[in-house]
Amino acid sequence: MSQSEAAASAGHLTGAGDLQPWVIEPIQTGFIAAVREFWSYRRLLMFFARKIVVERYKKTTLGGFWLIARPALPLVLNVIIFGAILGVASDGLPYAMFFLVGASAWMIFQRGLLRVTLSVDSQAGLAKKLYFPRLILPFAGIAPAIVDFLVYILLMIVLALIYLVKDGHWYLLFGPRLLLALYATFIIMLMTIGVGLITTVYQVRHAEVRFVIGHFTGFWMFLTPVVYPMSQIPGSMHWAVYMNPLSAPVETFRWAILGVGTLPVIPLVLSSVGIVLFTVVSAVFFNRSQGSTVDEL
Amino acid sequence: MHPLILDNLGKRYDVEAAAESPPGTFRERLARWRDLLLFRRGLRPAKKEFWAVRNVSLTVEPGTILGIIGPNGAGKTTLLKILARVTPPTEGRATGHGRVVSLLEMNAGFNPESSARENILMNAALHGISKAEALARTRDILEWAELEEFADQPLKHYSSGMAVRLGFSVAINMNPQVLLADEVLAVGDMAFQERCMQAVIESGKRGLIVLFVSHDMEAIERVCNRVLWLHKGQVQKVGSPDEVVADYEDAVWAHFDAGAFERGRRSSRFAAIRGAKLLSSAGREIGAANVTEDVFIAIEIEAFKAVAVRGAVDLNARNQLVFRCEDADFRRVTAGFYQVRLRIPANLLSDISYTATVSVTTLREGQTREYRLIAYNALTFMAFHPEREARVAVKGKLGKTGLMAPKLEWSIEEHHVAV
Repeated sequence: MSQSEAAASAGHLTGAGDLQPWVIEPIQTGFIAAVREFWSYRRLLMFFARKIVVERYKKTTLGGFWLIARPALPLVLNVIIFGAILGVASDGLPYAMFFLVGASAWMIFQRGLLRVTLSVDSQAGLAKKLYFPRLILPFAGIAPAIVDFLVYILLMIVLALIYLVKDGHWYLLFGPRLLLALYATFIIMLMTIGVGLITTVYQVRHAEVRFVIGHFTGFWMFLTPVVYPMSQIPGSMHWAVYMNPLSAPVETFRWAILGVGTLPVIPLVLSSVGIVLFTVVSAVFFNRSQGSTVDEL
Repeated sequence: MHPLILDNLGKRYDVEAAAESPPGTFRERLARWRDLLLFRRGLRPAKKEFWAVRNVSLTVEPGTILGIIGPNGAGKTTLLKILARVTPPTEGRATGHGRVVSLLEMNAGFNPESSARENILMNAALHGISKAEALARTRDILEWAELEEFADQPLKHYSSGMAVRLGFSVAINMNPQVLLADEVLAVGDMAFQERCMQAVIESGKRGLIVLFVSHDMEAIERVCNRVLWLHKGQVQKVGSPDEVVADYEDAVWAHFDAGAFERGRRSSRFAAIRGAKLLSSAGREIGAANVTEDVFIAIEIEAFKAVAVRGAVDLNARNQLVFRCEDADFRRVTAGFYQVRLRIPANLLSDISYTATVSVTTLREGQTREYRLIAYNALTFMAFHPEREARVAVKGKLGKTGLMAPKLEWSIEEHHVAV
């Protein structure tokens, strides 16, 4: 439908007037109208976020345990492999501390992407029955990753306390720079949703997309300074690492929390701009394919 | 008061042609991969067009409860999906006024962990209704559903009946102009259904349009004041319920028994079918069958002369033939009134509604020509289980109840396997 009509038909669902006219036509909602509609349905974000998180742990026997264990177990493994066995440098910090902070930021993407990819598929029951802006689903889909992120923060504090007792040194920083950590988190989430908006469309059509994503993000992690610090990369090669839009936010996050490495100002600005533009393009793509996506459910 | 206008609506799906043909031999699959690698063919399998709905034009006046009937795959659900804006049409348009609300299956729009109050808000949000409006209506919703006392309890503690009441109450109290109901309208106990109908009819007075999709012809006739019969996505017939349902069932019948005899004849020179009744095991006329007891379907006939008769019953439910049972023998009668009875044993029927088409074949002594009298849908009755609670769509699967629920024998035997 044309944009004005789309707005009118969105209005019939939301507006105060009971008898607004509406039209249903083959032409799909324009992007601006879709964004406006997204806003008017924003309450559903929390609804689906909660639903997706609950559904994920509902059938587990040890729900609360897995909430902690799922993020924590791979952490232990990675610390042993990269820190203890391979002896990767960590900018003078205990490797576990160094890795945990980087991984907290990275895992938003790795875990979040999978959840966002599955978001439309997992809510097929409702989506097939009821109209609401489908755009809500990928945005709500990142919720489990946020929950994981909060668990990581908790682990971070616990680990810092352990080192405080053991070494008498408190590694975590406080202060206004934490705002930059928050910003980096936000940018990573946006990137996750940006990629997820595309992958979720394909997931509905080809169920194997989720497998590909699992391997792909595992590989992507090594292109990002998560297990290694930027100081290990020759300065002349930094630009190559920062071609990866997730490098700068992860590095920024670690700089803000631990005070190691440098704040990559220019890469961060470029990555941010790139990620925002990319997410808008993804959202347009998602919006355009949403009609046929629902047909495939 | 505005009508709902469907103007040449159509919905095309592209079905994968490959999905219909078998995967083929290993060699064929290998060839397919080779063609793919050599770019002789695209990654996308060939698509076949399939019109789920096409050329549907219809004006639905306010206050209409429109039943939508048709065999599976006729496009009933697709039509509802288009109107719910779940799927966009491929061609044509639909115009209307006011809010369109889908009556949801219980598990879909509700969160069992949350209270009724929270669920009402969430359900409203799902329908794009503002929080303020939802809050303003919460009292009405709880009151209608008779759930005021349980408003703050999580839904998981509700009985299925309570959940169904809540779901319907939310939908009807959202002040919809168009209510889309897919089978769900016919669940719950009779008293509840009656209340739903009252609410629907009342809302009809202020212009509500209800689209009700069902396979249950009995429910369609009871509830609707207009019926749309879809066939292969196209409008076959629109009109009054008794007329359209009768034609539809005739068509289904004709499909079962194409042209075997003159259709719809109730009387001949020798005899006439006067009616059909449901009788209890004691022979009393009843309106509903207790499935734990024997019941009789009695075909009432009048014989004008001495004639031999053979009864037959086609029992239908949900638009399907459950069984056809014809007497093995002709039974002689002299002129007079008779009941040709078929005993349906206890523990055979399911607790759904059935419709029986009855027929009597007559044979005059010394002649070979058989005449068949038939009364379509002569008898509709509910079967019920006295102890079981009314079924509701707990898991969203109404179809879980079979057309029959026979009590069959189970056993367990040790199985000796030679080692």
